[in-house]
Amino acid sequence: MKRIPLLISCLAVLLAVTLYFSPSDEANAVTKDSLAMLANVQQGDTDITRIGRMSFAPQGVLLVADIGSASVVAIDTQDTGPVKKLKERVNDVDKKIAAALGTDKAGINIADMTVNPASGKIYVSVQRKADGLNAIITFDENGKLAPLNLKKARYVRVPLPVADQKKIGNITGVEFTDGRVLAAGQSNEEFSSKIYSLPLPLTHNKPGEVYSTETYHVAHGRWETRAPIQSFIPYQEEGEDYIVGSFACTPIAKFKISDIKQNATIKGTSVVELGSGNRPVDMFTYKKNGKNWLITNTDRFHHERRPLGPSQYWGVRVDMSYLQADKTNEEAARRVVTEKSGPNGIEVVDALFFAKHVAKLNNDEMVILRDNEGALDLEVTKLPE
Amino acid sequence: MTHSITTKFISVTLALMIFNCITGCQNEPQAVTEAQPTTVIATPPTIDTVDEAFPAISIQITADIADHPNEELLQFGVISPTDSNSITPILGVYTRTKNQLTFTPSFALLSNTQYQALDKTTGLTADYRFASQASETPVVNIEPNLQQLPANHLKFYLYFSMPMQQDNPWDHCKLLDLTTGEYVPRPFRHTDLWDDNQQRLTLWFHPGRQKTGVNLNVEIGPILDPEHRYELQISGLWKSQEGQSIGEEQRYQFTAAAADHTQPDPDQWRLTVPTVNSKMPLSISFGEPLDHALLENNPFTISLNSSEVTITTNPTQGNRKVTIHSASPWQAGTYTININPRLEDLAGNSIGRPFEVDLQQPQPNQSKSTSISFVIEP
Repeated sequence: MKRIPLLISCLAVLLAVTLYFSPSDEANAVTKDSLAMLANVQQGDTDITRIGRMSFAPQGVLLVADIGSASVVAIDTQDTGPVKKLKERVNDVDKKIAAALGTDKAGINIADMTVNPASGKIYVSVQRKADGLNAIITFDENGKLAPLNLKKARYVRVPLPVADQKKIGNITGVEFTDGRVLAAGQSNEEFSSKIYSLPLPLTHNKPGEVYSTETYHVAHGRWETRAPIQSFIPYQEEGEDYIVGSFACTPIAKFKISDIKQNATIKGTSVVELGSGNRPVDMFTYKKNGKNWLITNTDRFHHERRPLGPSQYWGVRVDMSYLQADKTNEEAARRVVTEKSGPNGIEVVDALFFAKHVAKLNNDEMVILRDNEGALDLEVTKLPE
Repeated sequence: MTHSITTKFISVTLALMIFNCITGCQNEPQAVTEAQPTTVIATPPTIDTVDEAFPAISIQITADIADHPNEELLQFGVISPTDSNSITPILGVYTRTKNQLTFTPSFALLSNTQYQALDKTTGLTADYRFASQASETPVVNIEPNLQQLPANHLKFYLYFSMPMQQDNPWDHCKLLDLTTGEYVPRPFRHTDLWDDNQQRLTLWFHPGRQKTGVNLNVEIGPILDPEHRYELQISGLWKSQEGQSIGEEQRYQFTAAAADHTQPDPDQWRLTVPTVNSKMPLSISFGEPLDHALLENNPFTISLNSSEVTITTNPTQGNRKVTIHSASPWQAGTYTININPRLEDLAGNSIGRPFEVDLQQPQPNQSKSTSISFVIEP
């Protein structure tokens, strides 16, 4: 019986010593890398009203699109590594998430999936249909799921500014790039896109800048119309900043954003056409054997009418040198829709069949949320050589 | 600095506690050995419902099971609708005191759902359910609500009387070609665009099929065929966020007219000008229906001698016309109406540019007049 008080005593001594020599909050604050990313950080309820796309910025900062309030919420997750990637495939992810939220899988809507490259931890944004509850569920290396506490978080909320008297109705992407965060939005009244530039540090309640996009979709070299961005990535070429955006049906276009000013209009240039009947979902780039590749996965909404492969969800990789082309819209490279590859450097990726969401873990691996006969599985998969 | 002092105070206090603990244990060894076993009467889990969506569920724990993992002692979850003996655990946070284990859900519980707490050490359970107030039946209004729409019509606005369940809203909508008797396959754009209040959905026809020459338009044709009769159907099963369904299927019928590739032209609009010193409305007739949401979003400003007039704008006659009231009586003078060039018709042709541009044709300035004037005589 004497062992228990002795053990308690030892633990208490350890705690006391630890506390005495532990740095204060101020000292923590100085060394906390995330402060370089965030300013005027709030503590408490993020009040996300309708959760959407997500991506990771450095230093464990999770960028979350809050569609309902037309803003970007940057959460300091404190998830900074080391990398412990998912060891084994997790089956029935949708069922497990739904159960954790007290409903069945028909009762949730998975908005997005991303992975923190610094830790390998996987984040899934989800909305519970019955009451619109927003949640982020994480999966660790063992596939164990846990909630990210959105009620007690360190965060900043950056509103996307109103342009042309319009708030946007959807946020189709939010991405970190050097020196800023970019977001793309769609109007719910006009067929058009806005691009938002949010300077660092992301500062609570400090809105970013907005650019209008005149995003032309050229078909058959004859007609042009406005089209909204579905998915995008930041891209640098010879020191210039670009956005590479993907559009429904499925042109990939680039927009130079280095030298534009607030409220300017950016005109995009189509560089690759992937074929009709597809809705792009995610994009990322990776480097392999000295070559840079763009990965994008899409939802083929005309799969039943004209299937491309075994699933409506499929993906492709594109040699990034296509993006450097100065060719304008009409001369954009077109994927050979009847073949798995072609022209040279544009290839259907087998591993992306059935992939509903993809996210880059590193230059060798990606995380896939995969449709498995109606269930959703999470897995880490090799990127093509 | 404050924290630093506090931290050191805590550590010193802990050190004193350690000393007291050690000396106390040495001075009163009999207190431990003389403790008498007590009889524990098993009770079901207790549920503290101060916050009914975040109840605190507790069980008593004894020393012999204190080292068991929390999940092996207490479980809280949803009772399976098909098997009342099966619980699907929900996510939550466990906290312990010396003899009590408490579970709090990570996410708000749903009303009208049957939950159960299970003390796995005793097998005793406690059921939990809370009811929400009966909600009203949601009502939907559709804009535009016209007998005829152009064959290249772009979008509908669905106005709901309360926030709706928002996922995949197009699953609740269908388009029936009454002329052929067949449903139009995949007519809607799969992008859910709700307004701030989550009560207005913009339901787009798929632009890839409505745009001339775009691949889908060429491959499988446009969504609407001129002179065909259509019915937009909104499922009665669609629920509000409070869980109340619309009830009956909502139907809206229209006929497709010829495609419209002509921009609205303010120079062709017909104005009815109010008399001086009156509060009669100024009315503008467009000669065609314009986009309802854009008309409701203050597309006009009016100025007199460079001074802006405070106005309210109301679309009427199926968005073919607006009436504009001035906050104060109209004065005599020449007024200028500035028009948002993004104001567009039902086919997406705006004041600023047509929805589609033929690159093989010369490209003159496509913008129509963005300001017009009118005079109120003294």
